[in-house]
Amino acid sequence: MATNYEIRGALPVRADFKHIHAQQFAESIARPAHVYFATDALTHSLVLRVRGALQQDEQQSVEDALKQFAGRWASSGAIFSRLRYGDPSFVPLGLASHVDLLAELDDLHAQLNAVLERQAFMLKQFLAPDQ
Amino acid sequence: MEKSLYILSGSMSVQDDIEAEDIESVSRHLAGIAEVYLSHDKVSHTVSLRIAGTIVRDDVRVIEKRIERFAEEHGTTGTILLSEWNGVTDWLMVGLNWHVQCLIRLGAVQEQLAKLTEPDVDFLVRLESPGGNAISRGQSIMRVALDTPQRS
Repeated sequence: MATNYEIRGALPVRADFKHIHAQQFAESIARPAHVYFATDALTHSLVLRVRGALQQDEQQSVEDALKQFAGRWASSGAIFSRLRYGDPSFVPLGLASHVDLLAELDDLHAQLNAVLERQAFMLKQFLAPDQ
Repeated sequence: MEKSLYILSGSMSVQDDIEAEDIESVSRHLAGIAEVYLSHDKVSHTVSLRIAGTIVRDDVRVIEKRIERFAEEHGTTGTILLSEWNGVTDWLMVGLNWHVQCLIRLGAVQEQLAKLTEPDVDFLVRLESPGGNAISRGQSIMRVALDTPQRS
């Protein structure tokens, strides 16, 4: 079956992170996913590519495992690239406070839009006072 | 100017078609300033980097500007790099412009939202005629232009 899912990127990791941690993680999510990873002790980085022909629940469990792993070992937030059924998107991972910032930004935009829509509605009432 | 220890490290996602020359040109540019390590992983399409040296503050800006440009040109996502200068740790946000802008704008959006959600703000609407000389009464939070029908 053709690949329908891929997530890849680079994760800055803590100084005490070891290659064996990456290996154990890769083994835990491999099959049916194909996992490629490399660690760089000099820059404290883990680079990763996970892909395969995955069902939706398998994609979800890969991402859940990745989020948990990144929460444990990342030294900062990172944005991974994801391709699902040919559709590109981004996944924030890593240090919780950085991930929270990205999620909060989405939330704030939604709130701000709601407030602006309400104000626009009220201004329209000025245009049609008789109705 | 006083020299201090500087380290910039981290990794970023890069375009699939990045060429060796794109990376080597960064090394050539910065090699005279600091020790440069750049490693390109062609499977995950990432570049890991570490730039370190005992340098002056002006050289820190040169390095960070060059890495910012590299990330703008070749990065595929926003990236947070770790920067250490004279024992002080900081984050450097580089890469895809809108990701970086998103992080920077967060503070501004938060401030705007706080003002808009203050009690009674919804009802403080002042109508101004187009082109009219608005009398300024305090700071305006938001201005909206509307087309209105002419009334006879």
